[in-house]
Amino acid sequence: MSESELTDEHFRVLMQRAQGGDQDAYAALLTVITHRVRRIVRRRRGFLGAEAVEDLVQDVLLSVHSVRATYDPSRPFAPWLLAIVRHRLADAARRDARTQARQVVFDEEDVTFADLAANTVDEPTGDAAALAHAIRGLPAGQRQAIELLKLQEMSLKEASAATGLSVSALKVATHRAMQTLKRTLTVKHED
Amino acid sequence: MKTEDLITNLVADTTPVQPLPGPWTRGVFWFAYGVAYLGLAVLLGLSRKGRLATTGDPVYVVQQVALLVTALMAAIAAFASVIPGYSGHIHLLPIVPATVWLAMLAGGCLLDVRTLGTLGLSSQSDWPCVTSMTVGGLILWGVMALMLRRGAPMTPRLTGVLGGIAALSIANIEACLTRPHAFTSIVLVWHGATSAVLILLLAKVGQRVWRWPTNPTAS
Repeated sequence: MSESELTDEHFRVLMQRAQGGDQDAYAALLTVITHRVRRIVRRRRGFLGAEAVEDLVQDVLLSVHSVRATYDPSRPFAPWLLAIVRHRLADAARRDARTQARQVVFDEEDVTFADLAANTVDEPTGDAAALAHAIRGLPAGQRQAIELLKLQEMSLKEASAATGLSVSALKVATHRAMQTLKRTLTVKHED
Repeated sequence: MKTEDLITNLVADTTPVQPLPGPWTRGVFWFAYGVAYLGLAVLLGLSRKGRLATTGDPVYVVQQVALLVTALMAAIAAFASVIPGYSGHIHLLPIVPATVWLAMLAGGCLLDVRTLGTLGLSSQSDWPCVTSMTVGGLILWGVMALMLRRGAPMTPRLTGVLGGIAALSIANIEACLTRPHAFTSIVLVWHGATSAVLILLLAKVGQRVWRWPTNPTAS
């Protein structure tokens, strides 16, 4: 039977069996109501994001579990469940409002330093094509060191394992490559 | 924690539970306890003072009956407030008997002014009643609070108020039965103010006493 075909009577019977300690009935009930609760929470609080929606669904499930004795099998199941969902969502909204009231929102400030030359806010991005060209012009060993350590962001240990070179050799190659690149790009910039 | 894992944990944790009796049954059960408390307090008052402050005045009798009905209705409403799915209209149950009580007191005040020429507010303080109402109200509310822990804390403030009305109504009767009041305004002001302050306090306490379970794994 598909979920949409389940009637309140099915839920009522499952809950009654769950109250009697039937774990299979309880698992079936929780699984089915989880889908329904998730849909309701998404519709009302979907703007919070998937993780927050799932937290709310779990809050509802915990609440259902803790107050399952309040369900009277002679009464319909849906109003009982919906009342719990409604109150848990209202609680969450109040909690969020309280949290937001205590938060101080401020714009992200640009990083500034006392030394004006250290401020990078207005620094141009640079000529990416010139840099790529300069890297291609490096000797093979230096180029490999730059590609692994700076472009692929490998650690020295990883680069050493990948190339078979020692860590010291990689450090020297990187240092020399940086010096060469600096020289090449400075000359190009001055031209 | 994933929701599927939570379900697995909840299912593993499940044990047979006895469905709670309906709010009417629980309300009547608590009311019986309240009447027993009242009977005990009256017996204590009788043994100490030798007589009660009761009168055969029909207005007085109707006031006490209205308070009894208010206590019963408020108790039922309080127990209904912790059952998901009940209509909110049930919370209005104590309004009619409470209004009857207040109207009778207001009428009594007018009668005092007409027959005695004064409200008599400055003639008597009523601290013993304030004390006995506070003690009695807290005892009666405490038992109800314990009973209400088996329920869903959907509206803890409202539940606290309704429980407070029920408890203070019984405590009010006890104060009226054991101590004579020369003027109706004394009852209206002293008992009314004591009840109002305590009910507001109990509403705040209710928020702390009845809480939903928290999800320890929530982000």
